[in-house]
Amino acid sequence: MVFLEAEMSWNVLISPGQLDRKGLLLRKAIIVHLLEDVTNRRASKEHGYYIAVNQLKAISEGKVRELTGDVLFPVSFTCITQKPMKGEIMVGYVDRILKHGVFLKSGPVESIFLAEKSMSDYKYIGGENPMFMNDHSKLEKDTAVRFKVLGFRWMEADRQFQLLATIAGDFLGPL
Amino acid sequence: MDRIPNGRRKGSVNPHVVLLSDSDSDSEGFIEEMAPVHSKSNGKASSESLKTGGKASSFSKGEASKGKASSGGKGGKGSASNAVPIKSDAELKLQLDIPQNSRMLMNCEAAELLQEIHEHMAILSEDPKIKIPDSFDKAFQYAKAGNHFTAANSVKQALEPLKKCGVNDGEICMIANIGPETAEEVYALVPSLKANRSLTEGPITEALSALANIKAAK
Repeated sequence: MVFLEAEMSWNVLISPGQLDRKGLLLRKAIIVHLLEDVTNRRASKEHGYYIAVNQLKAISEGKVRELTGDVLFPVSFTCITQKPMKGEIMVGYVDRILKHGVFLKSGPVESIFLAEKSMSDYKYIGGENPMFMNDHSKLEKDTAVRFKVLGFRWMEADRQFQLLATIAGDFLGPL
Repeated sequence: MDRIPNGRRKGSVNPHVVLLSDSDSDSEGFIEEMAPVHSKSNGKASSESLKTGGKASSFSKGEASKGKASSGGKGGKGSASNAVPIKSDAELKLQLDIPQNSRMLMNCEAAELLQEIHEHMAILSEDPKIKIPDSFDKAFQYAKAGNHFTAANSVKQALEPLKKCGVNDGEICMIANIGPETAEEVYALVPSLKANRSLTEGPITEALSALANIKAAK
C-alpha cells in the first residue's frame, strides 16, 4: 500500500437548519459533513482507502436545491489515502492459516491471500496451531511477513480491496 | 486429483473447472472465504478489465501469472491481450497507478503527516459529531511500523541523487519503504532497477550508507 496525498473535489449537502449567517459556523458544518462523508465512503477504487482529510482548500458558492431547501457546496480538499500497487513490497501479519495458504492483514486491508503455490518451499503442517514451515523459518499466527503484491481487486460491494501476495523470491518471507 | 501438473503451465479453461471443484472438496473454510470472490468476479468481468477477472481466478489458484492467462476462460471473454508471457513472481515489476492530482508519499512522510493529524484529533474527538475514518488508526500504525528513519526530509535528501541516474519516484518510494540494508536487497525487491544496474549500483550503495546513518532505532 502506497500512501497518496490526493486533491479531491466533492459536493457537501447542508440542510437549511445548519445554515448560519456567521461564516465560521457554516464552515464548521461543512467540515463536519465532509468528514462524515469521507468516513462513510471508506475507500474508492481510484484513490484507495481514505485515511484522513488533510487540508480544506476551498468552499465554492452554494447552490440551493429547490425541492428540499438543502444547499450544495462544492468543496476541494486534500486527503491522505492508501492504495495497493501491483509489484510493491509490503509487510503484513498472518491472520489465518488454511491448507491452501495464509490470510494476512496489513494496515486497512483485511484480506490478503498468500497461496501455498506462492510460498516456494513452505509446507503446511496441520494440528492445533497450524503453520507453514520450511527448513529455517515458519509462518504462524501473527508472524510478520514481507511480501510482494501480485495483484489486487476492488470489491465494490464491500468497498475494500483484496490482495494476492507472494513470498517466492529473495528477501521475502517472515521477518 | 493431480492438481500440480494441471495448474502449473496450462492456461486453458479446463484446469479451472478441475480446480474449482477441487477446492470445494478440500477445505470448508477456504471455500467459504472464496465463494463471494467467484460470484462477484464473474459478474464484474463484463464491465471491468479482464485482468481483474483473471485475478479472481488466481485467488483460488494462487498464481497470478497464470491467472492472467486463463482469465478468458473465467470471464467468458477471451482476447489476444491475454497472451501475456509468464514471468516468475520475483521478477514482477512495480506497476504504479497514481490517480490524477495525487502524489505519492513515502511511509516516513506519511508517518509524520499522520502524527500531526493524530495530535489535532485529540481536540477534535471531543466533539461526537466529528467522524474519523476507520482506517486512520490502522494506517497510522502501518506508517509508523513501516517508517525506518528518523526524519523524512533526510530520507528525501539521501535518495534525491538517484533521480539523476534514472530511478523513478515509485522506485525511490519503494526503497524508502523497504528500508534495505544492501544493494543486493534493493535489486531483488525492486527488479525494475536491474535494467540499469551498471549505472545505478554506485549511487544506490551511496544512498544506502546515507540512509544507514538516519535509521531509527527499533
